[in-house]
Amino acid sequence: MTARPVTAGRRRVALLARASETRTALADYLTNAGFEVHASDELAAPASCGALVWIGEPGEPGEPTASAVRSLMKRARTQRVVVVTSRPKALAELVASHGARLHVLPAPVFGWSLVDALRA
Amino acid sequence: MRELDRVLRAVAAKDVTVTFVGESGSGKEVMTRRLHDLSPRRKGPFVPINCTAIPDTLFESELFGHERGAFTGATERGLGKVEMAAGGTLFLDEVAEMPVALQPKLLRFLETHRFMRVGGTRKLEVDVRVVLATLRPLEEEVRAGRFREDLFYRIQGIVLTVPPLRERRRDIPALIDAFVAQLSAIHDCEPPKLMRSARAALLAHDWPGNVRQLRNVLEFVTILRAGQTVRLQDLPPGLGRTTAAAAGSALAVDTDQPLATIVDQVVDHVIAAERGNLTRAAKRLGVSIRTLQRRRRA
Repeated sequence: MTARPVTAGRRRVALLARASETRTALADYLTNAGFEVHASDELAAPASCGALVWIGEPGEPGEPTASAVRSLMKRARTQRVVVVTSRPKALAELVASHGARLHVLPAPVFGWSLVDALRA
Repeated sequence: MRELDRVLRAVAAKDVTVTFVGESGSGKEVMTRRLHDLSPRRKGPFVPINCTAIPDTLFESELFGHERGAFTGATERGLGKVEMAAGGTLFLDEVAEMPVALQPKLLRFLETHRFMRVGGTRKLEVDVRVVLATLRPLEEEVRAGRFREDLFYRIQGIVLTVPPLRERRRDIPALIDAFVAQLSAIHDCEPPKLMRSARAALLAHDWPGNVRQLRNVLEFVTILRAGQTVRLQDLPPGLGRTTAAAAGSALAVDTDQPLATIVDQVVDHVIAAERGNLTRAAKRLGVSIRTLQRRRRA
């Protein structure tokens, strides 16, 4: 008897990052890791995607970051959201109110940290 | 590291058991993640397991899972790490710490990819690549009777050494920048600015605790010097003073390495001896600063 792989199949992920170099590199990485990636430089939550990854700008102050993520959580409704930011503490309240649906990682991260967060 | 990366690329696509040997904190798990990412299994899960963190009595269940009622408290079937890693990579860190009694079962699994859950009656088969890591060469553990000889020979196929940080100093500047950025984010503070003297001391230090120790030192200065400059005297006691002698003129080089690796070691050693001053390092090596920079970027 063969044990079945536990991982889910191919998943659609929206990757939101303003820096094109970062966006391209991470889109390649996530595609190689088995995700179907919809990359964009705008704050959006395509309904076809099961999860969103938002890459914050390096050095961006806490309040605009929290405001952007708050707006993203409203649009996302049920999707899982992974945020990479240099201001994770600014998102503490949002994490407390959204629970496991919002996952915040302090920047910079390895690509595989995103994969782990998306598969968690 | 370039040589190690070349080997990783070569073995990643082959379904062979790989064992990493390296000092604590040298980055064995990072190397395993890279091996996984380079392999055709990259779309599957990566499941790490630290053999020192699991009590002997729970080890088998943790690794192979258990059936309902297999032991008191087993109210439901539990999946083991090998099943969770199906289609991907299972990483057994500090494998020398695995209980001797369980080692024959790991050997059997490595040979057949079949296993039985604790309390189970059926053999299950799983497609998983196993990667192992150990702090010290396993020969010592075999001699001491703590590691089975048959298992040792089974995993001796591809053994890769992860060099300690002191043998790959060119990685240090990038690690400093990444850690300072990440630690400033974690502690919600402005990143400190490292003065040249402090950077040179970090570059020249021998780092017996490897990358983990470097991170701890940077956490110390990130918290204490948030938003300020970090001078040599702001580093923890002992840093920067042990290194001047260590970075003198003598360098022991293992000649069983490619020439490019030996050249890298010499270049790194001289840069450390000159405390990060590339102009002086270039002069000492009798090359132009551009040649030195090109060599460092290679």
